[in-house]
Amino acid sequence: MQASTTQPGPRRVLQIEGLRFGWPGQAPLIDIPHFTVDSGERVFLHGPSGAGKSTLLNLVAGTLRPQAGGIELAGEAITGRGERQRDRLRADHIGFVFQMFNLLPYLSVLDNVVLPCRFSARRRERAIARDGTLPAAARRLLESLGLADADLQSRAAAGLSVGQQQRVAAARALIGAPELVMADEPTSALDHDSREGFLRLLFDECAQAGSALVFVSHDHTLKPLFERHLDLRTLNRAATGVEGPHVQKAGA
Amino acid sequence: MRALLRLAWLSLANRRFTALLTIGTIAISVMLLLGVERLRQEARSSFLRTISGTDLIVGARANPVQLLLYSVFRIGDATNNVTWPSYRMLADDPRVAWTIPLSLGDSHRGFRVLGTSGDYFTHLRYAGDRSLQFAVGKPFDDIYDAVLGADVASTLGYTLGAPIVVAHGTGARTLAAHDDQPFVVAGILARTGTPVDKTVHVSLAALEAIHKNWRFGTRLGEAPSREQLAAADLTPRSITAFYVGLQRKLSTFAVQRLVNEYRAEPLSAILPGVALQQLWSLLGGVERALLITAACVVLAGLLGMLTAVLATLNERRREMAILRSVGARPVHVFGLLLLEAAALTVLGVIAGLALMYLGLFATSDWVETRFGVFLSPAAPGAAEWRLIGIVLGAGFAVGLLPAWLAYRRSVADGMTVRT
Repeated sequence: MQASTTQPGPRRVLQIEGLRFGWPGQAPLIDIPHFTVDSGERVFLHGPSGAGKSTLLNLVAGTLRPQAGGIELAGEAITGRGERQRDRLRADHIGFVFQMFNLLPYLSVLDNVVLPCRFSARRRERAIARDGTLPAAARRLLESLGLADADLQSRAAAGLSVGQQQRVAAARALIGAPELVMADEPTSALDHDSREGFLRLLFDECAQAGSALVFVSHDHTLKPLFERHLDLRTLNRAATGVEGPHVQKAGA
Repeated sequence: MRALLRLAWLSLANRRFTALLTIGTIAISVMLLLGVERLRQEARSSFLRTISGTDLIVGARANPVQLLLYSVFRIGDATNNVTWPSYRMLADDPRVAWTIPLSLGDSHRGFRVLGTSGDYFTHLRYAGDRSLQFAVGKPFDDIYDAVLGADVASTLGYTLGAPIVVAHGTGARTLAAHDDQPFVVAGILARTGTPVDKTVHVSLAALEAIHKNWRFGTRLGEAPSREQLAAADLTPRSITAFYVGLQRKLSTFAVQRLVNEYRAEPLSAILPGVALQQLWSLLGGVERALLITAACVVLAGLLGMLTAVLATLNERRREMAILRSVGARPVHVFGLLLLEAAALTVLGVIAGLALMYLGLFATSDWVETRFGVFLSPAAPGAAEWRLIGIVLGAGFAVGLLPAWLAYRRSVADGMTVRT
């Protein structure tokens, strides 16, 4: 099942094959025959509620185990592994940005950004290799995301505006240059004008870090900014109300 | 681990009001527990040091505790006396270094009057090797001299030269008073924290003198005049008990056997240390009850902490989901909550220790003068460390519950909070 292919050119960051998941005794939530993301790709995944969005995120994160199928993260299979290793793979290879409440309110902005490096030795080493120290890595990312103010960086995260919080969350997802950044409606709490600004910053930093971006949203207006977009309802055959037997790949 | 510790610390600091209240609750309960333990130990050691340097106490045949009660603590009465010839016989034994005769039976305004000899002030020891010191005055010299214990003097407000009327019997108010023959305060002893403080000391001869012309508890005729006394033989016919100091400790059991097998009259010789231990074990129930009460208060404090930590679990599900998303394992979530409980317990114990020592410094003078128990502000002893260890262990154990709940939820929730 695990088709671990060594490919030339862009590396495969995420590969999903024949993935099935459902809570016992309930209708299946996820049925994805095939889905891949390569390094450097920016994918818009249109997913209204009920499409299995958060279930898919948890499956890729390894916090849920599928009933069937395989997921590979940066060439390493996460399905069939123990909980400990799935947790390590998530920490090493994925940065997450959620809709809101991304930050630990009692940590400073800087501490929030550095947080993934506390749980992943790989990302810590990569951040230090690039910027010398963890705070330096965090400061560089915060600066490029428009949060250069040192006073703001040492403030508790709870005191920031929603827009600032989302940018801090983006910096956190990017620190240590994980192969994959998964963003779940990161802009829905922002007003319309700052959405695009936020996205452009996110794109730039993903490109800088060499991370692929999977952007899950129900906001169609952002779709044109992505080179590749697909609908989760067609990708996921188990999505409610939709019977899509085929995988749709929208080229850019 | 260090990262988790930091997280736990900052998370607590974020909820510092609840955290401080919890720490305060634990601190007060720990202070109570350690305070009771300290008081218990000091009371015990001060009790066991009531009398020292005395190898044997001899009285009429009785239970060792009873003999100890009346001869040392002046509680209760002897059923029988020791005749003077028996006393002299034993006092003159070559193995005996010194004896202190004790004669009880009279009182002064609720305080026991003890007839004894001058040896009382030279040979009696307490609290290890401390001898009796005079705050003012000197041992009795004249026949009607009295030496007061510190409590007697301070309670009744007596100073040197004050007249004292000794009552016949031991009731606080008794009609049969030796009022025709008052005593005069010749000395006041420094405080010892032992029953000596509550005793009026007079000479054996004086007790004999005031009982001249008394029979069966009432007076027959006039009290003898000083001239008559000078001529009279004031050797008592019997005494209540006596303390024995031996030349060599080695002969303790031989002398004890001699007394216990004495044919002329039934006598008992007891080892004061052993009898004190026996008596304390009788009283031990009270101190144990106190300690158990304090332990229950600590338990209540820890349950308060449990409540405080559990109450945050719901509002912190999102925090746990965030931690999972940045790579934390459920074990980390478990550790985080356990560390919080541990930190609250440790800080509570430290604050409790600080409070206890503060209390000790603040009240030790008062406790010593009031109760004669010296509360030393010494470092915690083995028993106290054990209690501290138990409290810490209990705190960690209590912390396991929220940690386990958060672990379970974190596994179920993953990165998204399902409600």
